[in-house]
Amino acid sequence: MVTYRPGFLPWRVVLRGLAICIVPVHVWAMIAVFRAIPSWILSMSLVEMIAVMAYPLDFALLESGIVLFCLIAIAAVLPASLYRNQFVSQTSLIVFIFTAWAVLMQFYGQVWDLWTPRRFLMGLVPVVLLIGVASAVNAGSKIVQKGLDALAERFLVLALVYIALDLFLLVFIISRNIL
Amino acid sequence: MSSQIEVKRRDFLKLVGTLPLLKLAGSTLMENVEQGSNAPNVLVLVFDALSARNVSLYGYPRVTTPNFERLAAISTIFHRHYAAGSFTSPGTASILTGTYPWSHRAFHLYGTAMEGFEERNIFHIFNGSPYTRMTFTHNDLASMLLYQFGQDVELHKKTKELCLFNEYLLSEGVFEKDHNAVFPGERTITRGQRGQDLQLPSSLFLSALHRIWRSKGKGDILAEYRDRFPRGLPSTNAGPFVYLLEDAIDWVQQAILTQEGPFFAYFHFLPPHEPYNTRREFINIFRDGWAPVQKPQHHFSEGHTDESLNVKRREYDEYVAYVDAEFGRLVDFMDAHGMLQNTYLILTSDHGEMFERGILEHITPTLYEPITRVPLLIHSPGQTTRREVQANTSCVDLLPTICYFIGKKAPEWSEGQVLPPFSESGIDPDRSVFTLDAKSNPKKAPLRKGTISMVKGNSKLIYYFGHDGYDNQFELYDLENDPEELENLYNTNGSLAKDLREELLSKLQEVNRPYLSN
Repeated sequence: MVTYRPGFLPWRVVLRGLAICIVPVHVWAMIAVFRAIPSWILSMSLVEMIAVMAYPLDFALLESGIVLFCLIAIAAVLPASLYRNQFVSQTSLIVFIFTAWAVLMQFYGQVWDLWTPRRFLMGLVPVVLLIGVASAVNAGSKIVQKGLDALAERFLVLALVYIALDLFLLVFIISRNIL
Repeated sequence: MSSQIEVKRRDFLKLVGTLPLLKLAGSTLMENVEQGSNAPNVLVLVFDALSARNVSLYGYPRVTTPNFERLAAISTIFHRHYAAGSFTSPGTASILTGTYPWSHRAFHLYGTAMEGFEERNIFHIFNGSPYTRMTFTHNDLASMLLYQFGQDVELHKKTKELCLFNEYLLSEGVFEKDHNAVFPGERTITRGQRGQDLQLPSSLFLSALHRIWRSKGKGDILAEYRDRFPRGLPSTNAGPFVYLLEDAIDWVQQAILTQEGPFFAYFHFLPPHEPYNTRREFINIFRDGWAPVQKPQHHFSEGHTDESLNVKRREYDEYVAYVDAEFGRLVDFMDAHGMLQNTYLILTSDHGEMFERGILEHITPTLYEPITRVPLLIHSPGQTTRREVQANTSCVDLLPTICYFIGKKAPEWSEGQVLPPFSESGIDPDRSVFTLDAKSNPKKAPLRKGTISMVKGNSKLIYYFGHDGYDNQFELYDLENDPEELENLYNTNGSLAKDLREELLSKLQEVNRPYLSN
């Protein structure tokens, strides 16, 4: 088991955590953007389409950063044995479960009438419970931890591609807003 | 074929008698404009989705527009005025550019005009004049065009500044300079692409929080205003903006009053566009049992029953009455401050609205009169009598006419004409006016799928092409004897149908030519 000094997360661990956040957020953003492209093709030039696309994709990078920041904050608050000592695998579990929940919400949130603050919070209760159970399993199983660590390692490559794309689009956005 | 111009005889004689004076006035006007002194203001008010068919000024049996009628007593009323598109983007772009949608190509939802129109639009023609140009709109589609042409506008009031609730945080904020990219981008982030059955926002987690925030924010505001607006507040179609028309009218009053020099203003208000959330005092004022002529379901019927359409029509009429009341408030204000003496006040719409043949609203391939015919009233500075124009006119005529008002020559690229009675030569009686629906075509390609209506004299030819199961279909109506467009004469009036068909197809060929490859 990989352990870390209290109050400190090595940058390699943070980077893997970021990769875990970046990949699902970007995959979803890509799906949404590609669903919109057929209607954009009719009315926009290639440059205009790239400009429009740049905002959701760069927002996905921001969103990934926010999610990671929240998770690091939680890790800083909780006892090291609960979260920080298995940061990558725990982060993976939390992000995957929340991703599944968020995807379900996008499809069925309206149907289940969950878009009010109270019902939304109530809907989060089973998700938090599930995370608790999954975390307990993760804490007691080196196989699960190793598997999730290995997955994060592979996500890192994909995440770097997304980051490169996002940075290119960020330059594009900045140039359009300055020039 | 009878002449299209039916200006009243007495008015015509008056007009002829004043021609030399008009000419003199024209040259004086030009001098005034150049010097900036006494140049007339030009105020264009567009109420979105306002069909002439539901306006009592034009004979609608429900008294929806008493204030329009009040202003009409001292204005020129155009009885056969046509929008160039069936929804905001093409209709508004045609008003702003004086060209048909096949030229400006803003015929998609959130479409913008072709490159080059930044210098071919109604704002640009004021360059070099002492006019202050002002714009405002509630409509996010019109907003795309106002941002595209914004380089020539001195005062662009942001939509969010006159909203009770605005869910867009980026497009009129830090990224405003890139508005036309960030706006659809932001929409993709928070809501997903409009027009799809299932809209999936690209933001996986934060869009959920955004959704709760906007749901709560709007809910609180709706609760606050429930007494005044029991059906809900005026809002954009999918609800990103919630606003009061009253606030916009109040702002317009102050904006035009505080201008020191002459101004040109284009204000595009969303009401009476759906949702038809009228103010309390107008609710149920048209529960009168009246029902319109029943019409058969069309091929493009959306399946609405006559009963449900009549309910929607009544709600729409009640919303039009609210619009009329606010318009009346603005006119009273202008009158009280003497502004009707030095302002061209133009009232019109970008397209109409439909409640028949199984079709609701205006996103439809059909181009019947409720969608294509819109009001046009022009009050000239100091005008004290009513004038009527029966000629077929188009929204593309507004730009050349405004040029005339400010003493400028109409640009050659405009496809419109100076409106009668302002034009000394009158309007070409043989001209045809067009409305186009072409949203399924690529922007820079020949038009292969769509609908075109062509009105010439009393005849109206509608051509449907490229539609699945409804390709190469024509409908011909005699608007004089059949204003409800019930009897398709295409197969019974052979020679007229042939002449009109050839003209329309020739026009289509002409406008497609620049996009055909060798």
